Amino acid sequence: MVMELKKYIITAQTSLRGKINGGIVYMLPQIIFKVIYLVPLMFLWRVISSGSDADVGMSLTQLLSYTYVNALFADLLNVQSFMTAWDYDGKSEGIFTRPFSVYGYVISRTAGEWIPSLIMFSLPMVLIAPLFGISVIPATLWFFPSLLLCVSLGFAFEFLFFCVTLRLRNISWLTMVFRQALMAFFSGTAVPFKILPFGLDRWISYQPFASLGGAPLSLFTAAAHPSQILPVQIFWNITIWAAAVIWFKKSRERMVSFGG
Amino acid sequence: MGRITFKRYFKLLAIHAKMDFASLTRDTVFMLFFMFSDILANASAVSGLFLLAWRFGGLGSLDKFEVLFMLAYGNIITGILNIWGGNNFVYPSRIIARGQMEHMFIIPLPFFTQMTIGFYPFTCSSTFLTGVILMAVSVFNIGAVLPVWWALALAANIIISVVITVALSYLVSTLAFYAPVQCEEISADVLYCALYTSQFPLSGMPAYIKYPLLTIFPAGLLAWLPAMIIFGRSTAASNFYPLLFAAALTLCASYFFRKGLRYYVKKGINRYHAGGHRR
Repeated sequence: MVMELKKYIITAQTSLRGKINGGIVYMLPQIIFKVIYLVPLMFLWRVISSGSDADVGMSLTQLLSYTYVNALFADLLNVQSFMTAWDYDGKSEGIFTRPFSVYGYVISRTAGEWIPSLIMFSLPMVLIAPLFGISVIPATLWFFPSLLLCVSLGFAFEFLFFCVTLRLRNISWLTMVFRQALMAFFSGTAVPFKILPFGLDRWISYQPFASLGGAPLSLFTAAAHPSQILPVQIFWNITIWAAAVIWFKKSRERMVSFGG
Repeated sequence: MGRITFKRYFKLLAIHAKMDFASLTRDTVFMLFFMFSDILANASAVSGLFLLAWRFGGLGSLDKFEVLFMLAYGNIITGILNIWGGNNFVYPSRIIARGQMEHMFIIPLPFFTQMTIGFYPFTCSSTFLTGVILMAVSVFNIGAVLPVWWALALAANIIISVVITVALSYLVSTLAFYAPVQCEEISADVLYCALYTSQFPLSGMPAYIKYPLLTIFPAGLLAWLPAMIIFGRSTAASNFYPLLFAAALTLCASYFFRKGLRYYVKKGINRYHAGGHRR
């Protein structure tokens, strides 16, 4: 059991090193741009809250926490593994050449890639959050199981979209753009569902993407009750994982590896 | 090297357009699906902010359809970059850092003429089309009467915004001459961030947020300020600011890019092992 676990940990360590082998400077632009994107977005909430007399649906404190925590845990709330990039680079066959499960390999390698950003961006941002008057303490401990379910579902979608790429004759770019756009809106990470017009939040919360980032963030900020969120997340985890495993088994035979 | 005339340049563009059209017609159903998916993805990407604007009757001092206009403007800029900047020509740090400039040196055509191979007017037009459709919807619904010269102002501002984006990309890409491993993706990182950030209306934001986004990191010049100019809500001085900024940025980019290129010619990019793998 320990040996089994060890190879996954070593895989994660290898991918961590791969992420920083160009030096820490390599990551600096990405961190700076995350901050550049985050700051105006947070001021947008202030503009909205100050300019509207109507009930926004969420308080300014909740909106700021929602956006801030989304930026801190962006990699976990919207899982994106190396699979699409590898397909583009003609290296996808590599996921089948390791002496362990394809799923385990993809998950451990992706998790390893998260660590530098979590240490270099998320940790300092958590420490300075009180200076901006932003709460980074979850409103309920149910946030943690919800985050776990969100990450799990993110990986299921990762395999599902990899199958879409294979079926679309390896047009990785299209899959990536389409997926990012869908996730940006339907996961509720960019704009919380609760403040959407036309009562959209009543039905949009039940589609599968809503169980990704928006679900744990709603629990973090007490914008939703765990009984509304967790059963839906569990349901979509079972459904999407089943679909992903079956479809991946059928699609892997279509994988073509060339290019570079 | 033969002399490159305008005629020759447009002939090259026509050749690449023809090849792109051939890839569109080779499997029309598939390519239309491709483009339709891209249009949906673009519409989805802007829908979040537009729905927010709808919910609150606008954002800052902008009406909801003015916000849509701004978002459409951003889509048009991205669309133009997609149409003209294929094969990484709008992300030159990738070309530099991968040691592909050498490939370009042996082709007997000037750099900007070689860029014609990045011209994809059909298969990469989805973002541009989305922008045009959204802009048509917003213009049709905007309550205020637009100034008579607005179409001219729109065209001029689009050109200026594209120039700013390309110049910014080339300016930051000069870093890849000196640090190829670390800066391979810097132009993509900068452009993605600038284009995403340009979606935020800066009206109502404090000066210490607004001004850096109009100077140090000019995301505000890629949608918000042009929209304000087109709506006739900017001061006379700020009407000319994007033009002056674009000129200054282009000069800077040109100077530093040439300087970096001279360094590259002497040092090269030592990124490949003997076996051909990239470090």
